[in-house]
Parts: sequence; structure tokens; C-alpha cells
Amino acid sequence: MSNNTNSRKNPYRGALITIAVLVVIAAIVLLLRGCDGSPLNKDAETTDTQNPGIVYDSGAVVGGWDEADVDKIVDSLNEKVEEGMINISMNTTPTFSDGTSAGNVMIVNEGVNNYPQVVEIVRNDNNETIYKSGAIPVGSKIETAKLAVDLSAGTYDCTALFYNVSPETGEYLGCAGAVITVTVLE
Amino acid sequence: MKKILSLVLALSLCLCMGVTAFAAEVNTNGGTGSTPVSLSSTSDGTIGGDPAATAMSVTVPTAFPMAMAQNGDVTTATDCKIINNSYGPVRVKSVTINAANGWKLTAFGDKSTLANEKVDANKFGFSMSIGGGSVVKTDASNASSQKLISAPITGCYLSGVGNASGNSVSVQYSAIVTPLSAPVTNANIANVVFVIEWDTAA
Repeated sequence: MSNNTNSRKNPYRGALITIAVLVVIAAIVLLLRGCDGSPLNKDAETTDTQNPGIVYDSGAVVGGWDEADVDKIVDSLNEKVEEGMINISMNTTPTFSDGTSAGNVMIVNEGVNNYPQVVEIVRNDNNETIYKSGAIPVGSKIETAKLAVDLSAGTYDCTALFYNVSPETGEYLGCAGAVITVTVLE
Repeated sequence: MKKILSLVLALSLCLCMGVTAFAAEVNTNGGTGSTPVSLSSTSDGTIGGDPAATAMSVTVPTAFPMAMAQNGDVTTATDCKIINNSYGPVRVKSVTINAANGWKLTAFGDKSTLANEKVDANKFGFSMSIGGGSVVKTDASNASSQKLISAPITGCYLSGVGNASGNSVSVQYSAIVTPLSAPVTNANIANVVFVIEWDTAA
């Protein structure tokens, strides 16, 4: 009689106990996995069924170091070469009436160029810079100019150095030269 | 009166258009005369313009870009060239390479020659061939500046612009570079300077 009374008091007792036991087991499993350092995220792991001790990273893909596409690299390098090409153009025999007068240097920064140019004229015998222009815009020229040094009458073997100049910073980007002969008449 | 005036004016105009002729007088049968042929080269091509020599106009590379892979292989451009736009022929007189920004020149060769170099030693070797001529290389003599060509050599000669096949020469180049511990982008490690001159008969 009393047993029947107890059953009526808690008819789901067995089921509740079962659920509680399952919850405790699940909690223990989660705790154990957290402690051994293995990822809790199922997406980040793949267990080898034959070797359950290793966990592969799902981010790993088949392959080695990237294979370079040489053609693409060469194309991009060729573009840089083209960008850095400089056309140098001037009168290779500028003449000056005397050391202080203007001479016909005729320096032309051709329209095909990509950068402003600065031109320096350096004596070959002593490396003295006898002329330095300011920046010459693309498509512009300097027809006549005075030397920075009052040279005596004579003929001077020189090198004209043409610099590509960054229009933003004024930094020299590249250089090419031409052999010229400077003549001072008096 | 008007007719006479018109005739005089017309005659005057005709006389004004006359050109002085330098003619030798030949007054014997079979005689010879000498006629001078004069030339003036001027900036604008006129007989009375400012005296000027032929204008030099040459296109030269100033950038030698290189890309180094993680295994040390260096790739270089293939379209590097010098183009002579001048009427007259020119030649490459000299080529100088100057190391920049802390980099040092070393001997060019197979990249394996750098196997004992430290990472970040910042050394590189450079080679070049102009117009299919001899390959010139850096050596270990000077770490900061070296003259690769000091006088015109085979391949350095370009015809005037009138010869479309001869007024341009290719420039092939190659390099070896010591390993890097950190990536670099567009680092300027050297400057190469070409000096051009007229290809004169003298």
C-alpha cells in the first residue's frame, strides 16, 4: 500500500535520475577534452580513425611553396623597365662666347619621357660640375644657359648627366649620360 | 606713262629674284671649272641659323628591376634596350654600377657561390650583356662602385635612326642576391649609369 503511495508521489523519478547521470557524464567528457588541449570546435579537427592520436588542421591544403608564374613576373618587370626609360637629348657641342655668357645647350626633355629631368654637366678631366639645371618638365627644353663656373677660353670634354626626378619628392630615380664638348671662345 | 611704270616695276621684281651664282669661267674648248660646294649646319637648318652639330637623342634604361624567389632564384626583365633616335650613330662609352642604400657589390656567378654568405649580408653580383656582346660582371674588387664597361665593346654600337634594325640593342642582365630574413619591396640596391657618345670616324 505504502509502495503504491510512493510511486504516485514521483512517477518520473527513474527518468530524472537517468537524465541527471547523462548530464554529469557529458560535463565530465567536456571537461576532459578542454584539459588535454584538443580543440572544442568540431570544424577545426579531423580525427584519423586509424591513428586517433593525431588531429589534422582543416586549414591544411595539398601543395608546397608557391610555384611562380615566371611569365607574369617578367611582364611586370618589363613594365618597370619601360617606366624607367629615359630619353636624353641635347646639343653635344654647346658654345659659350666667354665663361660668363649663355651658351646654346639646347637640353630637351622629350615628350616621350615619364619624369622631369635635372641635367648636370661635369668636366671629365677633374670631375668639376660646371652646370646644373633645375627640374625640366616633360615636353620642355632649355635653349640657352650660363655655366656655373667662369671657364677660360678653350675646349672641355665633359659628360652631361641626365637624371629622372620624382615629380612629388624631387628624388633622383635614375641616370644616363652623354659625352659632350663645351667650347668657350674668349 | 602707266605702261612704262609697270614695265619698270616688273623689271625690278625680276632682277630682285636673281640668285648669285658662283660659276667658274670656262673660255676654252674642253676647259674645266671648279664650283665650291658649301655646307652650314645650323640649329634650324637655315643657311644663316645658329651653328649647331647634329642633335643627339638616345633612349636608355635607368631601371633594372629584379624579383627574387624564396629559393634565391632571381628573375629579370627581358625588354631592356637602348634606342638611338639620333640621325647619327652612337655607341655606349661606359657602364658603371654603384651600390646603394647599404648594399654591397660582390662577384657574379652561380647563386651557390653565396651559400656561405650570412643572411642579410646585403650583397649582390650583377652581370650584363649589351647587343649580344660579351657578358660583363661585377667582381669582388670594390663593394661600392665598379665600371662594367670602360670603352665601347662589341654590341655597344648603334646605327642612326635611319637603320631600323641597327638603331636599337637589347640589354640582358642577371643577378645573384644574398638571402633576406625579411621581405623587401622595390628596394633600390644599386644604380647603373650608361654614358653614350657619338660613334665618330676618328
